[in-house]
Amino acid sequence: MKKFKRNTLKTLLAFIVAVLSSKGFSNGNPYRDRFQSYRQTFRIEPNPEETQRIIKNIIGKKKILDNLVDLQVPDTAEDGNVVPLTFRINCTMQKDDYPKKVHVLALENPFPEVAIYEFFSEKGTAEVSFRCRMRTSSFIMVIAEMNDGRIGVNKKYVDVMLGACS
Amino acid sequence: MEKLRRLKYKKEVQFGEDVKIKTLAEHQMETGVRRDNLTGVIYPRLIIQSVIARYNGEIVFKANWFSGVSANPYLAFFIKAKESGLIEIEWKDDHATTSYKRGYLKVLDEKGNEILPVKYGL
Amino acid sequence: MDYKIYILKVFLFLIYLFFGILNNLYAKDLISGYHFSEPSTQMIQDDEFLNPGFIWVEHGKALWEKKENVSDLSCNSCHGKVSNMKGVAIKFPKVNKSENFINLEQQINICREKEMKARKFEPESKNLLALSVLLYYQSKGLKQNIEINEDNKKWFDIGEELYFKKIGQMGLSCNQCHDDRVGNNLRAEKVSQGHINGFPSYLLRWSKIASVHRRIQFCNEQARAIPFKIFSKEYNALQLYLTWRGKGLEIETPAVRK
Repeated sequence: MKKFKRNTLKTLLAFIVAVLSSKGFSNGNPYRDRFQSYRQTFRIEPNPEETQRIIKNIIGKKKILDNLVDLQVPDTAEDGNVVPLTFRINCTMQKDDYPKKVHVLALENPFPEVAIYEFFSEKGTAEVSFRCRMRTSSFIMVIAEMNDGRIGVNKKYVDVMLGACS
Repeated sequence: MEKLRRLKYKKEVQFGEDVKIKTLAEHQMETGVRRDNLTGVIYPRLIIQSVIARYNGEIVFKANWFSGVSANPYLAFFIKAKESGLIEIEWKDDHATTSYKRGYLKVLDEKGNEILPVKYGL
Repeated sequence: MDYKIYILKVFLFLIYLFFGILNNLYAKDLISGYHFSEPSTQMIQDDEFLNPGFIWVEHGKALWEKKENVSDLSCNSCHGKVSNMKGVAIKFPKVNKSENFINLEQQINICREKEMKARKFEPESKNLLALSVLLYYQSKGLKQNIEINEDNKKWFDIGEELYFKKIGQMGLSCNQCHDDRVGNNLRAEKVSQGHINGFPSYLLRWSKIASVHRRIQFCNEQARAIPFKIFSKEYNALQLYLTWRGKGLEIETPAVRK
């Protein structure tokens, strides 16, 4: 009887731990991301599986909508060090209709995550332009996490003549 | 010498207008991937981690950057003008050194009067 | 049968003529390096706010006012405002009063040592480039117009010789690319005419300002030749020849190049 009780307790504990840990990881915080926040002094090769995992962690099982994200990038960039990028989220910015987080990913970089932008409700238009680095010619992906759970994805291919990582 | 920070926007706007705010920071943005040609030593990472924009003390926009942002980073975004007040941009480094750039935004209503952030009730 | 071959010959001759004329036209018109870069790069150069070269200009403005400790002099105390220096930069490289052949950056260092009693700036250091960019920026829009006279004729000849001399493991000379193969692709790059009207310019590949000498050094390294030192007489001579070659082109400093 005692042994049975202990076993049930063990399984329950394991279950709780499993649930908690899965929740922690699925919240758009892949572990590659975590060691991005430290100052690393080592070289890393790009890993396509890792990239797919990061994207999966951000999107999860939510529904993907088209026409939510406008993305402007040049077709060919002369230098990978400076690729001008502009995105715009088509939303009213009222109440729940605003992007909570917008991720920008360059899919074949050693660290695919380039930037995360956070917006707040009724504080202007969700349009940002900046310049990013790219290692080779690859897709640039913008994922918008709306506050009400919708997800917008847009990606475009950029030809890079000279890579940034050299 | 001090690193340069630039901030530019339209100084006088109408109520409800979207103001485009352009910023430029002077920064190496070392990726932590680059090697020295002679010795082969990898330069440690040193980037601007986050940029925070405040409008009258309230956070209106936030950017978290990783090593994929280019050197001397440029950033443009929009805020909605509601009342006159202070626009403050904060850049935060890997060494947690912060630098600020501030400016005053003047917001006019339809009659051309300035909308002040503090209301003096009589 | 005969006339067919005749027509073919005429046709080939016409094609030859056409390409020859085209090539000549391309080579004889002076085209700034601006027109060889992609629209996205041109956009960065045109906008004063986007252009990172203006960081160096601002830095230079601060240095212009800065007083040195020993002599208590700044650039401003002798030369006045920076805007007075319009058109000064385009006269360099030149032979100065003490018969030395120098370029603008060396002149800045001479000024610092003799008048301001301060230390020289290192070549390619940020301070030196900032002042150099600032001075070239004052004559932006003016045309390159250098005179070849008795003083600098000797150096001009050396520069011309260097321009046409085959160097390095590849046996390349400057004119083989920058005169004969203008507009062709060299791996990922378009070969420009090699004018230096935008220098010192912001190079995207190093994300910083580079002087003419550093850029020519890089060019030599690519051709697998041993480069000369920065501020060497040879590079000054070559710079003089290149400035003369781009006579009539407008100064674009701080330009943005690949």
